[in-house]
Amino acid sequence: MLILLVICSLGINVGLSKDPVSYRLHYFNGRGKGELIRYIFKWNNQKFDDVRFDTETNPWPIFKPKTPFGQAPVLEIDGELYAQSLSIARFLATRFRLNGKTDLEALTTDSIVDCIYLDMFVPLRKLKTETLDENEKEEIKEKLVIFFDKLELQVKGEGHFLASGVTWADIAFYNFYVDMFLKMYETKEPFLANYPALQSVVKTIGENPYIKQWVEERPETVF
Amino acid sequence: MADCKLYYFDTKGRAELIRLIYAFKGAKFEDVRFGEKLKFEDFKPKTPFGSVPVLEVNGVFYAQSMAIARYVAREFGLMGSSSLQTLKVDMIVDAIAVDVFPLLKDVIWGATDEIKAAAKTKVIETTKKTLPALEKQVSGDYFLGSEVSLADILIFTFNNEALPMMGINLDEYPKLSKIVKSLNENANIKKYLASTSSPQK
Repeated sequence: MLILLVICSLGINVGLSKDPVSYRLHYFNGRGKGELIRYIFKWNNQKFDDVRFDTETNPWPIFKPKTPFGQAPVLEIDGELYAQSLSIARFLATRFRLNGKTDLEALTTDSIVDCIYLDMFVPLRKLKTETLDENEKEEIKEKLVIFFDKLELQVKGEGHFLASGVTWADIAFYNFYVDMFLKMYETKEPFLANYPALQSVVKTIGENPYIKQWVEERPETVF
Repeated sequence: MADCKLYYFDTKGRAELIRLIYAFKGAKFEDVRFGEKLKFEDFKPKTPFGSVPVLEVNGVFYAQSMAIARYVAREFGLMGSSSLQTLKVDMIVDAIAVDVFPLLKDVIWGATDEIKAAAKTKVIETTKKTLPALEKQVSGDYFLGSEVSLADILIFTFNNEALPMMGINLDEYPKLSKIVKSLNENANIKKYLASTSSPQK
């Protein structure tokens, strides 16, 4: 009986890791802005419906008017639709205890995520989508290197940004580096060779068994 | 709430939303503006990512305007009272901050007149699609119903600072207009906007 009580109280402290709520993610058949959300579900080994639009069976133009802002990804929670990939990711991260232990830690996590997706991804995408001359490309690359330098200093834990443990900022960096940066930035040497702390973040996420399995079994897609 | 220091230029820019949250709550904070006493160039190396605004809490510097706004809003109970309400506030905030704000950059700072004009067309187009969707999200006097949240304060500042630049007003959006009117009439906000703390630009 005592053992049961101890186990129950431990359960309350650690928090239920499996959410009884039903989740359905609606997105295109690709990684894009949906993959961060998928990683967060996978990290928590949380079941979710991974719905992908399909021109024949589930066309996006039919679903689009049902969404809050005419965009995807959208997370359907018990029948309600919620939009905006980072907001969805933040919601799940908070539910799954991947958003730091205090409000200030959540702020730190948020600021790292914003740096990655707002300050780094936007210029990175220009390298791939816009016609730039050599000078413009160099300017963007220099800007990105400065951000990598700064992010390296933000890694305060052993293989994670926050000293207190893994947060969605680590998953965000993994998503950015593996799914976006490596595909858009032309580089000859292993880019993270100069960034051992960031390398350890990528390792922490990449070697998680659920993430590893997902990366192996997920559909091969163009984006 | 811990004593906070906000560091930014003596302009509205990316700090005004944060200042408005404090103003709305009638709460004190140290509103540091770069100038003779403190130059941005001297402060920049101390920041996490070389950018401002930065919020200093208990001697630690935190960056990213929207991350800071969310933190301050949460401390003041302006992020809804459940995780799903917070998600709703967040997604409305992102619809403006992630989808529209970055487009404004080139309107103001574009390298050529062509770039500025193209950016202006794009931001107007995006805003005209976003506003009707935002109107649908208002579930009462405010986005969440009867309680003010960060989303309301953001639409208020968006209306005051960004919409005039695009030649758009909220006349076609009665619910959004009502939010802006209500915050305009809020005593604390009125006081702030009339004070010398409110930057001229």
